[in-house]
Amino acid sequence: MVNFRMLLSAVSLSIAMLSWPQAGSGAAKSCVENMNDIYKRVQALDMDDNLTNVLAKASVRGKAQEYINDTLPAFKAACPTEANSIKDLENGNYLKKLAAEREKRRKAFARIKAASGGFSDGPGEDRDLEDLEVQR
Amino acid sequence: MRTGQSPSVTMTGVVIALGLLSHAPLLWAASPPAADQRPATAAAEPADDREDQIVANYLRDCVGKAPKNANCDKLRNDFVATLKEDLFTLGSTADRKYISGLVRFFRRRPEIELRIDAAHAIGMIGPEDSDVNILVPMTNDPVPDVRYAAYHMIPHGKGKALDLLKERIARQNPGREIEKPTDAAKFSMPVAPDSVYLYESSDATRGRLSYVVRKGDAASFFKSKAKKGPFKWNQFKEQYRYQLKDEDEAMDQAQQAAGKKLESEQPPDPAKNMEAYVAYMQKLGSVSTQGSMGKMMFDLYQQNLYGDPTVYVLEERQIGQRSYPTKYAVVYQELAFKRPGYRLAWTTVPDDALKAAQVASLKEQKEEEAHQAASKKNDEAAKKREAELDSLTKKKDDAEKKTFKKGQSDLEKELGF
Repeated sequence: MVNFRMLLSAVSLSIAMLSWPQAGSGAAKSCVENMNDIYKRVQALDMDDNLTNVLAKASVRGKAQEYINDTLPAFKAACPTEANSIKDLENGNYLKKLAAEREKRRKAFARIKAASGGFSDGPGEDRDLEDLEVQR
Repeated sequence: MRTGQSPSVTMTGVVIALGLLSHAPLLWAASPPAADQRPATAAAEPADDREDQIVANYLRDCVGKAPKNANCDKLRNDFVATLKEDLFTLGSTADRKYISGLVRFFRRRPEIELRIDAAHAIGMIGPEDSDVNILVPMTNDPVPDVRYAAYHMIPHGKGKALDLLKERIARQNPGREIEKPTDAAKFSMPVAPDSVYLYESSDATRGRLSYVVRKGDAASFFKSKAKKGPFKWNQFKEQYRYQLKDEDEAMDQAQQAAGKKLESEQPPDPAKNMEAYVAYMQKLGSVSTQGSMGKMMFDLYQQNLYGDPTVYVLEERQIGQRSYPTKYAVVYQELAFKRPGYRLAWTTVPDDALKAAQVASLKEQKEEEAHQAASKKNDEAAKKREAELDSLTKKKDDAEKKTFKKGQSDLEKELGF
C-alpha cells in the first residue's frame, strides 16, 4: 500500500512538473512570475477573507488558505527554485505578514484620526474640507 | 474543452488530485494551527501600544495654551516621529480610502512637518480629479514649504482638473514661517465680502493681491465701487496702453538703479560671513525680479485659467500729462479652483517716476499719432485716387460704347437695314 502511494505521488509530481509552465518557454510564465501571481492571489483572497471577518466579526482565513493548499504542492514540484517563497506560504508566515501589515495600517489610521480630533467617514463629511481658508 | 483532449486532461486531473491527496498529510502538517491564523501582530503590539501612548499623551497634555506636561518638547518630537511614520504607512498603501482622512489631518494639525508629510502621503496614494475640491485649500497654506509640498503632490495624480490646478499654482519660494495675509486696507484697496486671500498669487511689493470669493459675486461689489468700467481685460490694456507701459518702464528704471547700487557694493566673503553673503544674494535675487518682468506673471490672464476677466477702475489720477488707472480690480473665474476670484492691482511706482517715463512715451505717442494721421491721410488720398480712376474708367467705357453704337448704326444705314 505504501509503495502504491509512493508510486502515485511520484507519477503525480512528474506530471505536475511537466505540465507547470517553465521559464523561457514561449509565452509561458517563469517560476518567478508564477510565484508573484500566487502572492498576488493570496493577498487578494486574504483581503477578501478579512472583509468577511470584519463583517462577520470572525477570524478565519478560509479562501486564502484553501488556495495555498490547492496550489502549492504542484508548484513546489515544478519550481524548486522558489523554495523560500513556498516555505513562506506553507508555514503561514506570509499570511501573518499580511495580517501584521493590515494591523499596522489600522493603527496608523486610528492615530491619524485621533490627531485630527476624530472624524466619521459618513456622507457629507468632506464638505467642510473644501473651504479654502484653513485656520492656523 | 476539445473532445480529443478530454480523457488525457481528466486523467491528469485525477492523477494530480491523487498526488495531492497523497501529500495531504505533509500539507496539513505544514499548515499553521487555527489559532495562529488570527492577525499575528503579537510581536508588534507592544511597540504600537507605545506609539498609541505617545500620541494620546501628547494630545492630552501638550495641546492648548497651557501644556500640562513639562516634557512636552520631547513628547512633541516623539509625536511627530510617530505620525510621520503613520503617514508614510498610509501613503504607501496607495489606497484612496485614506485621502479624505489625510486631508482632514492636514487641515487640523499645526505642525508644519506633519502637513508636509500628509501632502506627500496623498501624493503617494495618487489623487484624482474628484479630489480637487478638497486639495485646493492645501495649495493655499500660509507656510511656503507646505504649499511647496502641495505643489509637488498634484502631479502625482491624473486628470484634467488636476492638470489645470498644476498649471494654476506656481512653484513656491522656500520658507517655514507662517505668512500673514497682506492687509489690503493699508493700500486703500477694498476687499469683497467673504473673500479668501491667496498667498501664492499675491505680492504687495508689486501691487497685486489675489482672492477667491466663497459665496456671491465680486463683480457686483466692484461695480458699485468703480469710477470707470467695466472693461474686458484686452480692452483695458488697449485703452491704457501708454499708462501701463509707463509703469513698466518706471519699474525697470528702478530695478536698474537698484542693480547698479548693489553692483557698487562689495559682496561679503562667504568664507568669513555666510549670513551676510546669504542676505546679499537674497537682495540680489529680489532686485532681479523687481522690474516689470516680475509683475508680468500677475498680469497674464490665461483664458483656460481665468476665463474672460473684467476690469473695474477704482481710481484714476492725472499724473503729468496722462490720466492713470492707479487702482483697479480684475474680476474673473478661478477655473482651477472652481470659484469666482479677483485681483486687486495698484501702481507701486512714485508719480515722479511715472512722469519721467512719460517723457519718452509721450514722444512715442506723438510719433505714433502723427504716423497714424499720415497713414490715414494716405489712405484717404489713395481712396480718392481710386474713386477718380473708377470714374475715368467708367467715362471711357461709356464713350467707347457710344462710339461703338454709332459705328454700328452707321454700318446698318450703309447696308440699308
